[in-house]
Amino acid sequence: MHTLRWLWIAGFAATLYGQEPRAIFRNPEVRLLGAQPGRPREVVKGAPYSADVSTEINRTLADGNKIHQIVTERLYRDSEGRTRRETSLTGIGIPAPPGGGPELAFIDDPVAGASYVLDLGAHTATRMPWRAPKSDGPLRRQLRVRAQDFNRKVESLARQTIAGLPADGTRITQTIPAGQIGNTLPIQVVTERWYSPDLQTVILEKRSDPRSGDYIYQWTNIIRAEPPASLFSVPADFPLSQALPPGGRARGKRAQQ
Amino acid sequence: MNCDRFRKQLSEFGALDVPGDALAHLGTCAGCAVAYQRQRKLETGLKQLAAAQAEWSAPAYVEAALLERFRSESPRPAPPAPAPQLPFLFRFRIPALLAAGALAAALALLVIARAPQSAHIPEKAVSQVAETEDDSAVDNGFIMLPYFANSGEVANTSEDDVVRVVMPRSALVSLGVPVTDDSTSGSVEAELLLGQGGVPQAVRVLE
Repeated sequence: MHTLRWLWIAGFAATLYGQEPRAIFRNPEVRLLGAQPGRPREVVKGAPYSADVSTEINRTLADGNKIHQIVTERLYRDSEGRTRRETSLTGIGIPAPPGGGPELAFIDDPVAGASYVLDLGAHTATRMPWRAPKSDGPLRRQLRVRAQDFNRKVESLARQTIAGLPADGTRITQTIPAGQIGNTLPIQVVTERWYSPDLQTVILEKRSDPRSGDYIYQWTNIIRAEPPASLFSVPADFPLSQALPPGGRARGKRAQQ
Repeated sequence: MNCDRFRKQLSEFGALDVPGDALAHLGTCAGCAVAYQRQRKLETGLKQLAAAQAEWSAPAYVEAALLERFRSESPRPAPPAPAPQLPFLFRFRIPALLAAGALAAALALLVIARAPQSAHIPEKAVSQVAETEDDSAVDNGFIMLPYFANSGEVANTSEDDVVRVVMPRSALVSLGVPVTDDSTSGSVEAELLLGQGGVPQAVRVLE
Protein backbone atom coordinates (compact mmCIF):
# COMPACT_ATOMS: atom_id res chain seq x y z
CA MET A 1 0.00 0.00 0.00
CA HIS A 2 2.81 2.35 0.87
CA THR A 3 4.36 1.69 -2.51
CA LEU A 4 1.14 2.65 -4.23
CA ARG A 5 0.80 5.67 -2.06
CA TRP A 6 4.28 6.96 -2.72
CA LEU A 7 3.99 6.25 -6.44
CA TRP A 8 0.81 8.31 -6.48
CA ILE A 9 2.42 11.12 -4.54
CA ALA A 10 5.41 11.00 -6.86
CA GLY A 11 3.11 11.03 -9.85
CA PHE A 12 1.18 13.98 -8.55
CA ALA A 13 4.39 15.81 -7.82
CA ALA A 14 5.65 15.05 -11.31
CA THR A 15 2.42 16.44 -12.70
CA LEU A 16 2.70 19.58 -10.70
CA TYR A 17 6.39 20.13 -11.19
CA GLY A 18 6.56 19.05 -14.80
CA GLN A 19 6.80 22.64 -15.85
CA GLU A 20 8.49 25.81 -14.74
CA PRO A 21 6.54 27.82 -12.20
CA ARG A 22 5.26 31.03 -13.67
CA ALA A 23 3.61 34.11 -12.33
CA ILE A 24 -0.13 34.37 -12.78
CA PHE A 25 -2.47 37.34 -12.62
CA ARG A 26 0.55 39.53 -13.42
CA ASN A 27 1.30 39.30 -9.76
CA PRO A 28 4.90 38.17 -9.41
CA GLU A 29 4.18 36.94 -5.91
CA VAL A 30 1.69 34.33 -7.06
CA ARG A 31 3.05 31.53 -9.21
CA LEU A 32 1.23 28.63 -10.73
CA LEU A 33 3.08 25.36 -10.17
CA GLY A 34 0.65 23.07 -11.88
CA ALA A 35 -2.75 21.51 -11.77
CA GLN A 36 -4.42 18.17 -11.34
CA PRO A 37 -7.71 17.41 -13.07
CA GLY A 38 -10.46 16.02 -10.91
CA ARG A 39 -12.40 12.91 -11.67
CA PRO A 40 -15.34 13.69 -13.98
CA ARG A 41 -18.72 13.49 -12.34
CA GLU A 42 -20.33 11.76 -15.29
CA VAL A 43 -20.01 11.22 -19.02
CA VAL A 44 -22.91 12.57 -21.07
CA LYS A 45 -23.08 11.72 -24.77
CA GLY A 46 -25.27 13.26 -27.44
CA ALA A 47 -25.73 16.64 -25.75
CA PRO A 48 -23.00 18.97 -26.99
CA TYR A 49 -22.75 22.58 -25.89
CA SER A 50 -20.58 25.62 -25.39
CA ALA A 51 -21.39 27.98 -22.55
CA ASP A 52 -20.10 30.75 -20.34
CA VAL A 53 -20.42 30.18 -16.65
CA SER A 54 -20.18 32.79 -13.95
CA THR A 55 -20.06 32.26 -10.24
CA GLU A 56 -20.96 35.33 -8.25
CA ILE A 57 -20.52 35.70 -4.53
CA ASN A 58 -21.94 38.62 -2.55
CA ARG A 59 -21.39 39.06 1.13
CA THR A 60 -22.28 41.88 3.47
CA LEU A 61 -20.14 42.03 6.55
CA ALA A 62 -21.26 43.06 10.01
CA ASP A 63 -19.70 46.49 9.63
CA GLY A 64 -21.55 47.13 6.37
CA ASN A 65 -18.56 46.33 4.22
CA LYS A 66 -19.34 44.27 1.13
CA ILE A 67 -17.50 41.60 -0.83
CA HIS A 68 -18.40 40.99 -4.44
CA GLN A 69 -16.58 38.31 -6.44
CA ILE A 70 -17.19 36.92 -9.90
CA VAL A 71 -15.38 33.92 -11.32
CA THR A 72 -15.96 33.08 -14.96
CA GLU A 73 -15.37 29.92 -16.92
CA ARG A 74 -15.98 28.63 -20.41
CA LEU A 75 -17.33 25.10 -20.79
CA TYR A 76 -17.53 22.80 -23.80
CA ARG A 77 -18.82 19.29 -24.37
CA ASP A 78 -18.97 17.32 -27.60
CA SER A 79 -21.32 14.54 -28.63
CA GLU A 80 -18.91 11.86 -27.48
CA GLY A 81 -18.82 13.19 -23.94
CA ARG A 82 -15.46 14.94 -24.15
CA THR A 83 -15.37 18.09 -22.03
CA ARG A 84 -13.20 21.17 -21.81
CA ARG A 85 -13.26 23.63 -18.95
CA GLU A 86 -11.35 26.90 -19.21
CA THR A 87 -10.85 28.75 -15.97
CA SER A 88 -9.23 32.02 -15.05
CA LEU A 89 -8.46 31.10 -11.44
CA THR A 90 -9.63 34.49 -10.27
CA GLY A 91 -11.49 32.72 -7.49
CA ILE A 92 -8.24 32.57 -5.58
CA GLY A 93 -9.03 36.13 -4.65
CA ILE A 94 -6.52 37.99 -6.76
CA PRO A 95 -7.98 40.06 -9.59
CA ALA A 96 -7.21 38.95 -13.11
CA PRO A 97 -5.25 41.30 -15.32
CA PRO A 98 -7.28 43.58 -17.57
CA GLY A 99 -8.22 41.64 -20.66
CA GLY A 100 -6.72 38.49 -19.22
CA GLY A 101 -8.06 35.24 -20.58
CA PRO A 102 -8.32 31.86 -18.97
CA GLU A 103 -5.20 30.49 -17.34
CA LEU A 104 -5.94 26.78 -17.45
CA ALA A 105 -7.98 24.36 -19.48
CA PHE A 106 -9.00 20.95 -18.17
CA ILE A 107 -9.84 18.44 -20.90
CA ASP A 108 -11.49 15.09 -20.23
CA ASP A 109 -11.47 12.66 -23.12
CA PRO A 110 -13.23 9.42 -22.18
CA VAL A 111 -12.94 8.23 -25.77
CA ALA A 112 -9.15 8.38 -25.83
CA GLY A 113 -8.94 7.55 -22.13
CA ALA A 114 -6.96 10.65 -21.24
CA SER A 115 -7.24 13.86 -19.26
CA TYR A 116 -5.16 16.93 -19.97
CA VAL A 117 -4.32 20.13 -18.19
CA LEU A 118 -3.33 22.92 -20.55
CA ASP A 119 -1.43 25.86 -19.12
CA LEU A 120 -2.65 28.42 -21.59
CA GLY A 121 -0.13 31.04 -20.48
CA ALA A 122 2.97 28.88 -20.51
CA HIS A 123 1.81 26.78 -23.47
CA THR A 124 2.44 23.46 -21.80
CA ALA A 125 0.26 20.42 -21.31
CA THR A 126 0.13 17.52 -18.91
CA ARG A 127 -1.51 14.23 -19.70
CA MET A 128 -3.07 11.83 -17.23
CA PRO A 129 -5.02 8.63 -17.74
CA TRP A 130 -8.71 9.31 -17.75
CA ARG A 131 -10.53 8.22 -14.64
CA ALA A 132 -14.07 6.96 -14.78
CA PRO A 133 -16.76 8.84 -12.87
CA LYS A 134 -17.43 7.70 -9.36
CA SER A 135 -19.48 8.67 -6.40
CA ASP A 136 -18.46 11.35 -3.98
CA GLY A 137 -15.10 11.13 -2.24
CA PRO A 138 -14.67 11.26 1.54
CA LEU A 139 -14.66 15.04 1.69
CA ARG A 140 -17.97 15.35 -0.08
CA ARG A 141 -19.42 12.42 1.84
CA GLN A 142 -18.59 14.29 5.03
CA LEU A 143 -20.28 17.38 3.66
CA ARG A 144 -23.34 15.36 2.73
CA VAL A 145 -23.58 13.83 6.17
CA ARG A 146 -23.19 17.24 7.70
CA ALA A 147 -25.95 18.58 5.50
CA GLN A 148 -28.25 15.85 6.74
CA ASP A 149 -27.72 17.07 10.26
CA PHE A 150 -29.78 20.12 9.49
CA ASN A 151 -33.53 20.15 9.16
CA ARG A 152 -33.94 19.88 5.44
CA LYS A 153 -36.91 20.57 3.23
CA VAL A 154 -36.86 19.82 -0.50
CA GLU A 155 -39.42 21.28 -2.91
CA SER A 156 -39.82 20.82 -6.64
CA LEU A 157 -40.30 24.03 -8.59
CA ALA A 158 -42.30 24.39 -11.80
CA ARG A 159 -40.29 24.07 -15.00
CA GLN A 160 -38.90 27.38 -16.28
CA THR A 161 -36.88 28.53 -19.23
CA ILE A 162 -33.38 29.36 -18.10
CA ALA A 163 -30.88 30.75 -20.58
CA GLY A 164 -33.14 29.57 -23.38
CA LEU A 165 -33.46 26.02 -22.12
CA PRO A 166 -36.22 24.32 -20.14
CA ALA A 167 -35.04 23.59 -16.63
CA ASP A 168 -36.50 21.81 -13.63
CA GLY A 169 -36.08 23.52 -10.30
CA THR A 170 -35.48 22.26 -6.80
CA ARG A 171 -35.42 24.36 -3.68
CA ILE A 172 -33.66 23.02 -0.62
CA THR A 173 -34.19 24.81 2.64
CA GLN A 174 -31.96 23.84 5.52
CA THR A 175 -32.73 25.19 8.94
CA ILE A 176 -30.25 25.31 11.74
CA PRO A 177 -32.33 25.44 14.90
CA ALA A 178 -31.67 28.12 17.44
CA GLY A 179 -28.87 27.17 19.80
CA GLN A 180 -27.39 24.42 17.63
CA ILE A 181 -24.26 26.40 16.85
CA GLY A 182 -24.72 29.06 19.46
CA ASN A 183 -27.20 30.99 17.32
CA THR A 184 -29.95 32.86 19.13
CA LEU A 185 -32.38 32.55 16.20
CA PRO A 186 -32.86 29.80 13.59
CA ILE A 187 -30.68 30.14 10.49
CA GLN A 188 -32.06 29.28 7.08
CA VAL A 189 -29.87 28.29 4.17
CA VAL A 190 -31.81 28.24 0.90
CA THR A 191 -30.49 26.64 -2.25
CA GLU A 192 -32.36 26.83 -5.55
CA ARG A 193 -31.05 24.57 -8.29
CA TRP A 194 -32.19 24.44 -11.93
CA TYR A 195 -31.37 21.34 -13.92
CA SER A 196 -31.49 21.18 -17.70
CA PRO A 197 -32.76 17.79 -18.92
CA ASP A 198 -31.45 18.62 -22.39
CA LEU A 199 -27.88 19.19 -21.24
CA GLN A 200 -28.20 16.91 -18.21
CA THR A 201 -26.54 19.39 -15.92
CA VAL A 202 -27.31 22.19 -13.48
CA ILE A 203 -27.36 25.50 -15.33
CA LEU A 204 -28.41 27.81 -12.52
CA GLU A 205 -27.92 27.62 -8.80
CA LYS A 206 -28.61 30.24 -6.18
CA ARG A 207 -27.73 29.86 -2.56
CA SER A 208 -28.43 32.20 0.28
CA ASP A 209 -26.78 31.74 3.64
CA PRO A 210 -26.94 34.56 6.16
CA ARG A 211 -23.54 33.52 7.47
CA SER A 212 -21.70 33.70 4.20
CA GLY A 213 -23.84 35.66 1.76
CA ASP A 214 -25.37 34.92 -1.59
CA TYR A 215 -23.96 32.66 -4.26
CA ILE A 216 -25.12 32.50 -7.88
CA TYR A 217 -23.80 29.95 -10.37
CA GLN A 218 -25.18 30.74 -13.78
CA TRP A 219 -24.79 29.52 -17.36
CA THR A 220 -25.17 32.01 -20.21
CA ASN A 221 -24.51 32.10 -23.95
CA ILE A 222 -25.38 28.44 -24.30
CA ILE A 223 -24.82 27.15 -27.81
CA ARG A 224 -26.09 23.67 -28.50
CA ALA A 225 -23.83 22.84 -31.38
CA GLU A 226 -20.80 20.61 -31.76
CA PRO A 227 -17.73 22.52 -30.54
CA PRO A 228 -14.60 22.37 -32.72
CA ALA A 229 -12.78 19.07 -32.24
CA SER A 230 -9.51 20.94 -31.77
CA LEU A 231 -10.74 22.13 -28.37
CA PHE A 232 -10.49 18.58 -27.03
CA SER A 233 -6.93 17.91 -28.09
CA VAL A 234 -3.57 19.32 -27.12
CA PRO A 235 -2.33 22.07 -29.45
CA ALA A 236 0.70 21.10 -31.48
CA ASP A 237 2.87 23.80 -29.91
CA PHE A 238 2.17 22.64 -26.35
CA PRO A 239 4.94 20.33 -25.09
CA LEU A 240 3.24 17.40 -23.46
CA SER A 241 4.32 16.02 -20.10
CA GLN A 242 3.24 12.55 -19.17
CA ALA A 243 1.85 12.45 -15.67
CA LEU A 244 1.52 9.34 -13.60
CA PRO A 245 -1.80 7.76 -12.77
CA PRO A 246 -2.81 7.38 -9.14
CA GLY A 247 -0.84 4.41 -7.93
CA GLY A 248 0.56 3.95 -11.40
CA ARG A 249 4.06 3.40 -12.69
CA ALA A 250 6.44 5.77 -14.31
CA ARG A 251 6.45 5.70 -18.07
CA GLY A 252 9.09 8.33 -18.79
CA LYS A 253 9.33 11.99 -18.06
CA ARG A 254 8.15 13.25 -21.39
CA ALA A 255 5.85 11.75 -23.95
CA GLN A 256 4.98 12.71 -27.44
CA GLN A 257 1.40 13.41 -28.24
CA MET B 1 -9.44 28.02 24.32
CA ASN B 2 -5.69 27.98 24.70
CA CYS B 3 -3.04 25.91 22.90
CA ASP B 4 -2.72 23.39 25.70
CA ARG B 5 -6.42 22.60 25.78
CA PHE B 6 -6.63 22.56 22.00
CA ARG B 7 -3.80 20.02 21.71
CA LYS B 8 -5.39 17.81 24.37
CA GLN B 9 -8.69 17.72 22.49
CA LEU B 10 -7.13 17.57 19.03
CA SER B 11 -7.63 13.86 18.51
CA GLU B 12 -11.35 14.20 19.20
CA PHE B 13 -12.01 16.67 16.41
CA GLY B 14 -13.46 15.37 13.15
CA ALA B 15 -12.78 16.96 9.79
CA LEU B 16 -15.75 19.25 10.01
CA ASP B 17 -16.80 18.95 13.61
CA VAL B 18 -14.46 21.38 15.28
CA PRO B 19 -16.24 23.08 18.17
CA GLY B 20 -16.73 26.81 17.96
CA ASP B 21 -14.17 27.72 20.60
CA ALA B 22 -11.57 25.47 18.99
CA LEU B 23 -12.34 26.98 15.60
CA ALA B 24 -11.86 30.42 17.05
CA HIS B 25 -8.51 29.33 18.44
CA LEU B 26 -7.51 27.94 15.04
CA GLY B 27 -8.09 31.39 13.65
CA THR B 28 -5.53 32.90 15.95
CA CYS B 29 -2.86 30.23 16.25
CA ALA B 30 -0.91 29.06 13.21
CA GLY B 31 0.87 26.39 15.26
CA CYS B 32 -2.35 24.71 16.25
CA ALA B 33 -3.66 25.07 12.70
CA VAL B 34 -0.65 23.11 11.46
CA ALA B 35 -1.11 20.54 14.25
CA TYR B 36 -4.75 20.16 13.24
CA GLN B 37 -3.79 19.55 9.63
CA ARG B 38 -1.23 16.92 10.69
CA GLN B 39 -3.79 15.21 12.87
CA ARG B 40 -6.25 15.00 9.99
CA LYS B 41 -3.53 13.60 7.74
CA LEU B 42 -2.58 11.01 10.34
CA GLU B 43 -6.17 9.91 10.80
CA THR B 44 -6.67 9.55 7.08
CA GLY B 45 -3.46 7.56 6.77
CA LEU B 46 -4.47 5.22 9.58
CA LYS B 47 -7.86 4.68 7.98
CA GLN B 48 -6.19 3.80 4.70
CA LEU B 49 -3.89 1.39 6.48
CA ALA B 50 -6.78 -0.27 8.26
CA ALA B 51 -8.75 -0.54 5.02
CA ALA B 52 -5.79 -2.07 3.22
CA GLN B 53 -5.12 -4.67 5.89
CA ALA B 54 -8.72 -5.51 6.71
CA GLU B 55 -8.68 -8.68 4.67
CA TRP B 56 -5.15 -9.82 5.42
CA SER B 57 -4.75 -12.91 7.55
CA ALA B 58 -2.30 -15.73 7.87
CA PRO B 59 -3.37 -18.98 6.20
CA ALA B 60 -4.79 -21.54 8.63
CA TYR B 61 -1.94 -23.97 8.00
CA VAL B 62 0.59 -21.46 9.34
CA GLU B 63 -1.19 -21.22 12.68
CA ALA B 64 -1.55 -25.02 12.85
CA ALA B 65 2.11 -25.56 12.03
CA LEU B 66 3.23 -23.05 14.64
CA LEU B 67 1.06 -24.61 17.34
CA GLU B 68 2.38 -28.05 16.48
CA ARG B 69 5.93 -26.79 16.62
CA PHE B 70 5.42 -25.14 20.01
CA ARG B 71 3.79 -28.30 21.37
CA SER B 72 6.65 -30.47 20.19
CA GLU B 73 9.22 -28.11 21.67
CA SER B 74 7.46 -27.37 24.96
CA PRO B 75 8.94 -28.91 28.15
CA ARG B 76 7.65 -32.29 29.37
CA PRO B 77 5.99 -32.41 32.84
CA ALA B 78 8.66 -32.44 35.48
CA PRO B 79 9.19 -35.69 37.47
CA PRO B 80 8.16 -35.61 41.12
CA ALA B 81 11.73 -36.06 42.27
CA PRO B 82 14.11 -33.15 42.15
CA ALA B 83 15.33 -32.72 38.64
CA PRO B 84 18.80 -33.97 38.02
CA GLN B 85 21.37 -31.35 37.29
CA LEU B 86 21.62 -31.00 33.53
CA PRO B 87 24.83 -30.29 31.75
CA PHE B 88 25.39 -26.60 31.07
CA LEU B 89 24.52 -26.76 27.33
CA PHE B 90 21.23 -28.63 27.93
CA ARG B 91 20.12 -26.09 30.53
CA PHE B 92 19.48 -23.56 27.74
CA ARG B 93 18.03 -25.98 25.19
CA ILE B 94 14.32 -25.36 25.86
CA PRO B 95 14.45 -21.55 26.04
CA ALA B 96 16.57 -21.61 22.91
CA LEU B 97 14.04 -23.76 21.07
CA LEU B 98 11.19 -21.50 22.19
CA ALA B 99 13.08 -18.46 20.97
CA ALA B 100 13.76 -20.20 17.66
CA GLY B 101 10.10 -21.06 17.32
CA ALA B 102 9.05 -17.48 17.99
CA LEU B 103 11.59 -16.25 15.46
CA ALA B 104 10.26 -18.69 12.87
CA ALA B 105 6.73 -17.48 13.54
CA ALA B 106 7.76 -13.87 13.15
CA LEU B 107 9.56 -14.65 9.90
CA ALA B 108 6.55 -16.54 8.58
CA LEU B 109 4.22 -13.65 9.36
CA LEU B 110 6.66 -11.20 7.80
CA VAL B 111 6.77 -13.22 4.59
CA ILE B 112 3.00 -13.41 4.52
CA ALA B 113 2.65 -9.71 5.14
CA ARG B 114 5.06 -8.90 2.29
CA ALA B 115 3.76 -11.40 -0.20
CA PRO B 116 0.13 -10.24 -0.44
CA GLN B 117 1.06 -7.23 -2.55
CA SER B 118 1.09 -9.56 -5.49
CA ALA B 119 -0.50 -12.77 -4.40
CA HIS B 120 -2.52 -12.82 -1.20
CA ILE B 121 -4.60 -9.64 -1.22
CA PRO B 122 -7.97 -10.33 -2.73
CA GLU B 123 -8.87 -8.25 -5.78
CA LYS B 124 -11.44 -6.37 -3.76
CA ALA B 125 -8.83 -5.19 -1.30
CA VAL B 126 -6.61 -3.94 -4.10
CA SER B 127 -9.41 -1.88 -5.58
CA GLN B 128 -10.26 -0.50 -2.16
CA VAL B 129 -6.69 0.65 -1.73
CA ALA B 130 -6.66 2.23 -5.16
CA GLU B 131 -9.87 4.10 -4.46
CA THR B 132 -8.59 5.27 -1.12
CA GLU B 133 -5.30 6.41 -2.59
CA ASP B 134 -7.16 8.27 -5.26
CA ASP B 135 -9.35 10.07 -2.78
CA SER B 136 -6.47 10.87 -0.52
CA ALA B 137 -4.85 12.90 -3.24
CA VAL B 138 -7.75 15.27 -3.13
CA ASP B 139 -8.93 15.13 0.45
CA ASN B 140 -5.94 14.74 2.69
CA GLY B 141 -5.17 17.76 4.74
CA PHE B 142 -7.53 20.11 2.98
CA ILE B 143 -9.28 22.73 5.04
CA MET B 144 -12.65 23.82 3.82
CA LEU B 145 -12.76 27.54 3.11
CA PRO B 146 -15.27 29.38 5.26
CA TYR B 147 -17.88 30.03 2.60
CA PHE B 148 -18.20 26.39 1.66
CA ALA B 149 -17.70 25.09 5.17
CA ASN B 150 -20.76 27.10 6.11
CA SER B 151 -22.87 26.11 3.16
CA GLY B 152 -23.45 22.60 4.44
CA GLU B 153 -23.93 21.29 0.93
CA VAL B 154 -22.18 21.53 -2.39
CA ALA B 155 -23.75 21.01 -5.75
CA ASN B 156 -23.08 17.65 -7.31
CA THR B 157 -21.57 19.18 -10.42
CA SER B 158 -18.28 20.04 -8.78
CA GLU B 159 -15.17 18.79 -10.46
CA ASP B 160 -12.51 18.69 -7.75
CA ASP B 161 -9.72 20.04 -9.92
CA VAL B 162 -6.66 20.95 -7.90
CA VAL B 163 -4.20 23.75 -8.64
CA ARG B 164 -0.93 24.25 -6.85
CA VAL B 165 0.42 27.74 -6.40
CA VAL B 166 3.03 29.66 -4.51
CA MET B 167 1.38 32.68 -2.98
CA PRO B 168 2.12 35.29 -0.36
CA ARG B 169 1.23 33.92 3.03
CA SER B 170 -0.89 37.02 3.48
CA ALA B 171 -3.07 35.88 0.56
CA LEU B 172 -4.24 33.01 2.75
CA VAL B 173 -6.01 35.57 4.89
CA SER B 174 -8.14 36.66 1.95
CA LEU B 175 -9.16 33.05 1.45
CA GLY B 176 -10.26 32.85 5.06
CA VAL B 177 -7.43 30.61 6.23
CA PRO B 178 -6.39 31.31 9.80
CA VAL B 179 -2.98 33.02 9.83
CA THR B 180 -1.45 34.73 12.82
CA ASP B 181 -0.08 38.23 12.57
CA ASP B 182 3.49 37.12 13.06
CA SER B 183 3.42 34.59 10.23
CA THR B 184 1.97 36.60 7.36
CA SER B 185 5.29 37.41 5.73
CA GLY B 186 6.92 35.32 3.04
CA SER B 187 5.39 32.91 0.58
CA VAL B 188 3.63 29.63 1.02
CA GLU B 189 3.02 26.71 -1.30
CA ALA B 190 -0.58 25.62 -1.32
CA GLU B 191 -3.05 23.51 -3.21
CA LEU B 192 -6.52 24.76 -3.90
CA LEU B 193 -9.45 22.46 -4.54
CA LEU B 194 -11.60 24.10 -7.20
CA GLY B 195 -15.25 23.31 -7.21
CA GLN B 196 -18.18 24.32 -9.31
CA GLY B 197 -17.43 27.40 -11.37
CA GLY B 198 -13.73 27.34 -10.53
CA VAL B 199 -14.31 28.72 -7.06
CA PRO B 200 -11.83 27.48 -4.45
CA GLN B 201 -13.56 25.24 -1.95
CA ALA B 202 -10.68 24.04 0.17
CA VAL B 203 -7.01 24.75 0.64
CA ARG B 204 -4.06 22.65 1.73
CA VAL B 205 -0.93 24.44 2.85
CA LEU B 206 2.04 22.30 1.91
CA GLU B 207 4.62 23.62 4.33
